[in-house]
Amino acid sequence: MNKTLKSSLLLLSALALNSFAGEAQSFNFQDPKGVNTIRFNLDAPLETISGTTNGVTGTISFDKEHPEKISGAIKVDATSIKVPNGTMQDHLHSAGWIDSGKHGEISFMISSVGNVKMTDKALTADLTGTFTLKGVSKEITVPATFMHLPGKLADRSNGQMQGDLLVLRSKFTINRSEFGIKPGEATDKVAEEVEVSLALAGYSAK
Amino acid sequence: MKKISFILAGLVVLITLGLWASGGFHTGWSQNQIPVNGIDEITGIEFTTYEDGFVAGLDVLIGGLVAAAGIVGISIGVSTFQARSQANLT
Repeated sequence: MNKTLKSSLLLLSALALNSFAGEAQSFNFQDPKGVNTIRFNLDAPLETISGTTNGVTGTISFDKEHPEKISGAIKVDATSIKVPNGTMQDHLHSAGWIDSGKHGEISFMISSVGNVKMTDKALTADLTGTFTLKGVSKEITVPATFMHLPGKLADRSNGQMQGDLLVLRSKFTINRSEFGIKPGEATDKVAEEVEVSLALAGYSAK
Repeated sequence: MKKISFILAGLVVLITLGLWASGGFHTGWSQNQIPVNGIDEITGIEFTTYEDGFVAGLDVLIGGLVAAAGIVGISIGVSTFQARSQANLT
């Protein structure tokens, strides 16, 4: 009897400790619903170019108890980048521009997390990491908002999967010249600055 | 000849303006993939899908107006040439 009580107490203590420590969850950003979208906008004096990509993959390890330990990477299939004009799309993917045939992946790999702020609904942080585009890698820092939605995977998958969702939002600007995309050329038609905005849902099945 | 050319140019202008207006006076390049925005109701994320279609942009508008001006210009040029030729003959 005494032995059983002792074992039960030990088990309870272990469970309690585990719940306090929290556990990092791995969220997969290859959206089964296929609606994860990254938008980009280039606003030049003569032309505004807007496009999207939904070829998003990657995983992020998220622990709401220890947000400073967020890690992982978001990857984009460069060939999935789309603009509404066919001719413009052909130019965009050509060797002179993003060269998606040769450099098929655009990625951001998180290396550190700073300026973490927790609100009721979301967590904001500055993510520093390596951004790779057209084979050129640069360290950049981007603001990000994470929203953890426990148990919402079932709603989003019509009950086919159980688990949590993690919504990641961010808006940042990169300079195409820094990534070897026609530096200083055609700036009247194609802006140097590329505004990127993303709203992605990752899932962690249980 | 001149009258027919002017009517043709007018028709080109009307068709061009009609096409441009039907696309909602789109001020960018013409689109052959039309972006459609949606919102995922569970996560609230905004997403974009594309539908096949055509939206005339400024390139169509400018092209149509230049074509109409070209028709008028050629018509006037031919008429002037013909008038001079006739004057030279008489």
